[in-house]
Amino acid sequence: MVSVGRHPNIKLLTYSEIESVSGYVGNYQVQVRRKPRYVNETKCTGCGTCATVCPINVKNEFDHGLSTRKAVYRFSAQAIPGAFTIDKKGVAPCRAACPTDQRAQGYIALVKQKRYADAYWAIRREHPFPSVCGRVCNRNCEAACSRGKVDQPVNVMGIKRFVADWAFQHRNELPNMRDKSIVGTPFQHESKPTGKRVAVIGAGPAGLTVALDLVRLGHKVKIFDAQPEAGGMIRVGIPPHRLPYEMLDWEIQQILTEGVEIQLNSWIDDIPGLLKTSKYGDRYDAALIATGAHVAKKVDIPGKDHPDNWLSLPFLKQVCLDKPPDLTGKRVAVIGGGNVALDCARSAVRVGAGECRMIFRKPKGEMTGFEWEVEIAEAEGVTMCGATMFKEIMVAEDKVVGVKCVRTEYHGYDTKGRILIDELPGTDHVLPADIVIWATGQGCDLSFLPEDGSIKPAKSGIDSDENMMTSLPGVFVAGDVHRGSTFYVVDAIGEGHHAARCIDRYLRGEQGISEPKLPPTVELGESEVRARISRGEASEAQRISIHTIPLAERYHNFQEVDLTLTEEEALREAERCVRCGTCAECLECVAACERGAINHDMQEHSEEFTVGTIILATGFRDFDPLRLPELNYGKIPNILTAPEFERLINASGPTSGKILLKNGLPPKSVAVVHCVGSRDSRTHEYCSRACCMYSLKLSQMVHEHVGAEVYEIYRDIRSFGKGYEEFYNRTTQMGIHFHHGRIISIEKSNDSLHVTWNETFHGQPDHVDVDMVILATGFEPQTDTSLVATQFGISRSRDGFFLERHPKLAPVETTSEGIYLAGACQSPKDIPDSVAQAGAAAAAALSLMDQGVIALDPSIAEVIVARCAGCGQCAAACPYKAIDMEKSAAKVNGYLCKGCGTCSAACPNKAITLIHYDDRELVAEINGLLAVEK
Amino acid sequence: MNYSKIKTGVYVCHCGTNIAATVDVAAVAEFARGLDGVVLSRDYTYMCSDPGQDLIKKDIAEYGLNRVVVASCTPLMHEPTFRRACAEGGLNPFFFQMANIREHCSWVVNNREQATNKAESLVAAAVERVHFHHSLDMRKVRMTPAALVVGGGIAGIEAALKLANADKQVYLVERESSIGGHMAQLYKTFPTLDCAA
Repeated sequence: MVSVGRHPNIKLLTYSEIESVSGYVGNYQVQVRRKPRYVNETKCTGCGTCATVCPINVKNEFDHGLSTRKAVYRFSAQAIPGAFTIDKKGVAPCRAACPTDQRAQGYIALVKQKRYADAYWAIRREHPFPSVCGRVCNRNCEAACSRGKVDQPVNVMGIKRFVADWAFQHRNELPNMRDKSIVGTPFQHESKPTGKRVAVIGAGPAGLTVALDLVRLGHKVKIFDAQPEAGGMIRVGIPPHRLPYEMLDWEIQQILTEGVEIQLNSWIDDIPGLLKTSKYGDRYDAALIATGAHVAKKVDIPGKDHPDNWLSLPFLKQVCLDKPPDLTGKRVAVIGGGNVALDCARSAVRVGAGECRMIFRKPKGEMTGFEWEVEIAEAEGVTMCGATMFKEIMVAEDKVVGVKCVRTEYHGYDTKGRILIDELPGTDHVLPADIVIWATGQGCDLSFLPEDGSIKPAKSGIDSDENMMTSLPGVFVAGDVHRGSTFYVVDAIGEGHHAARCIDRYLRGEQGISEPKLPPTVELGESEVRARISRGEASEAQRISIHTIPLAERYHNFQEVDLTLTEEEALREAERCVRCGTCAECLECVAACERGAINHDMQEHSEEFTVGTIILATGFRDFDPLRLPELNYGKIPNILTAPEFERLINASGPTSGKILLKNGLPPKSVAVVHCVGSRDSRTHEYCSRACCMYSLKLSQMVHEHVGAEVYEIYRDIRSFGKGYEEFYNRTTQMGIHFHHGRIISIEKSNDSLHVTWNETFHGQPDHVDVDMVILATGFEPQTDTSLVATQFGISRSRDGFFLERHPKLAPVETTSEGIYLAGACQSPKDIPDSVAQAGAAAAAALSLMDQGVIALDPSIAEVIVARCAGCGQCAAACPYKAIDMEKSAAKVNGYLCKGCGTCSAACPNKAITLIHYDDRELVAEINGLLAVEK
Repeated sequence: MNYSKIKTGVYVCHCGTNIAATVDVAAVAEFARGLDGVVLSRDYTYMCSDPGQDLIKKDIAEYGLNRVVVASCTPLMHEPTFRRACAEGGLNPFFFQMANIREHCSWVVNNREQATNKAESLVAAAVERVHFHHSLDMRKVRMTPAALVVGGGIAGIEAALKLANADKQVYLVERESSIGGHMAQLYKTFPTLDCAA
């Protein structure tokens, strides 16, 4: 193995598979798919620090599942190459679903290990506001969560909030670890200044995200915001009973600490001036408009202009800035059925509203507000008036007295996305109200746009190209003002990251950071999720929901309603994650690797080589004794397959070479059962050839290591090789018991295993009770043998193994010229035979290659151009892709053609024929045969 | 078909007793003599032996044979042998046709008369067919001095090292992240009980 790793003539392509093979002997073109290892083979020294910090444990295939390994692992202690590999099946659905690219599986894995600080920085890597999205997120991750296919999705938001709250409580201990938040990103803390200045207008989630990303790339950033507080809509639009600001302010402060400047209470009305003049303190190289959607809209109905018609956003702003109006005893009607309407209604209840109704067009079940929050609002005293169209704000004696309404019937949307709602005649009614709060949608205030039209607005919001740049070069747009309406926080952050990359590329050209390329997303089926739960890889527990404060405590204050998960709850919930991607992408390994060898963004790629010859040495797989139920393998402990036992006895194995039962004690007696999956009409008729001898070896090992009594239950001892019979004789002389017969069953009997067989010598069933059973499992063809045979154009024998050209005279050759077989892919064989055959295959390949030029049979396909109609059926039929269609006729590539004749049979016009196998010759041959019939 | 220019030589092989014990080879040779275009027909113990091949070469020179039919074993074994003999005798090797009267006849037919009849039919077919053969040249292919080895277990490793030591470029492709295969998981190996890894 070591020599292979060091040989200058061997290019070793591990973690790779053959994608395709084309060409012909002497000139085979081979495409090899190189799977991403996510670890640079040349940089990795194999020190293993990455594995010590990896939070993911999985079964170790190398030990046949008898031990565990990490998601970042080395195949074995003596692996060649010695580099580690990350077992990443792809991007987890939670990450793929999140606009911010948040690696939820990563921080959940860290929470599971109580590494809350690590989890916090893992969240912060993509998300500057964990406290916000731990509370008010729309949770695309949970909708995508594979666990939801079986019971309920993992409470990702609850876990995130737990981490955010923990971090806030421990905020003084965290900063020395903050470098973890830039690991695996193109960002730096205290980055080398680029000398470029960027103005960001709007300190909402989009603007703050862009600002943070850009200072971490070395640009100087200043944010301007018209509000008295930073945070945008999350600071002046989400009321404190859903989002306390203490933590948000701390999170914003962390952004400012990294070097972002901010100027509040500042309205910018000359955006071109930012770039051209110094009127805002500096002249900027780029500007970002991230001013949000802060204009609440009304619907044009009579009475809407009376001063007791309030707008949602100004009302919420008063609440958020701790100056709420007093609504004691007032009857409040909130018009609208979205999340903003819910915020208004629940706020109104808190400032004393006597009655509070939400009036909206769609039925309650169809409204846009989150269902769970609707229930809470109702519990708090809000009445839902769904399927109701508001027609007029009733005013009497200069006071609002109610909302005139009519019932509606909802029919969904038409193909153009227009809502279909009918008003039902004769259902007019008046809902009483003293104050009406309008929450019927938000738009953008675009009054700051230059009058010359250089920054073009869209239908709503501001237009941009695919690089987020407006029609004015150097001016970019992101967040709600880009979309023209209120969206979710994660959307703003996701767009912010994108805008930051676009601005960086605008400022630094090719040096700017590129768009990320993610590996494909993992999709787990329901059965796989169930299997992972039943294997104990995730807990069976049901989802733990968030608790809330008692109803009675929710009035006359804005105390936060949702409580955080307790530590014990967060840990239990984290255990429910089924770890879709195996690797959680927490990037702890990246932080730990001193050589910078780990790159989670590695992509699968192909390499192509030209070779003269090919040797297939694809091996075998072990027979799975689960197919023989009478053996009770996998059901009763201490029944091991021989390959499993090999690991147990191995000094580098799970017990460091100790032969131990499940109870930790050495066995006093062991039975070795031969021919498991071999010489059995139910499984494989063939003899697997190696099992007799390895069974004898294992018996000797057991006898020597633990002095146990060993019973060999054998059918025949096939000791055919050099020194084998002597080895058998030595085994018999060691006092090992041999019983000739076919196994009947293995059953549990008290604390031991009751092994029964048909004893050949007295023709009766016989039995022995032992502590441990070793099953001498046979060899099977690899599961993808059929695919490989097709790829290389070779055949398989009836047993499924690859077929040699001739069993005696061409045992390593195949029917494809220049392709040879070595080892157990041709038939079961032991190590000496495999090595011998490999040598023979190498010699055969060498003797061909050393000829320099070889001659091939000229009996290939030939096109009679005059007859060819150019239909292309021959080209489609050719298994070797040897026919090209040129203009109106087929053309045979004489090197690729193997003379099989498929084309000739496919041609409807007899225009393609095989040299020396044309119709005249075949007819002549038949005539010859028939002429002498006697 | 105009047979005037065709001069076919037919050679019936005994293959020791492999063919001769079941097929009346002399009768087959005699039968062949009466076929169109056949100018000479012989039977011989081992056509693949040097004296057997020499017969063909000599007859080409002496009788101006321009077609050769050998009725013997499978072409998988000896078609290259007889084509070479034709070429050495100065005839394009593709004017040769083989009739398999061993695997397709003597080894699978018990009755001597039936076997002989079948052998005659097979020879007649080959004689008819060989009329239409024409001169062909082998396709020449340059060998790339590089090899692909698929699988990094004990067999793949052994083959790769042998090829690499002979100064060939080897691409060793392994699906797992390390080479070693099953062998790397073993402790000691029989019959010598030495270390596997």
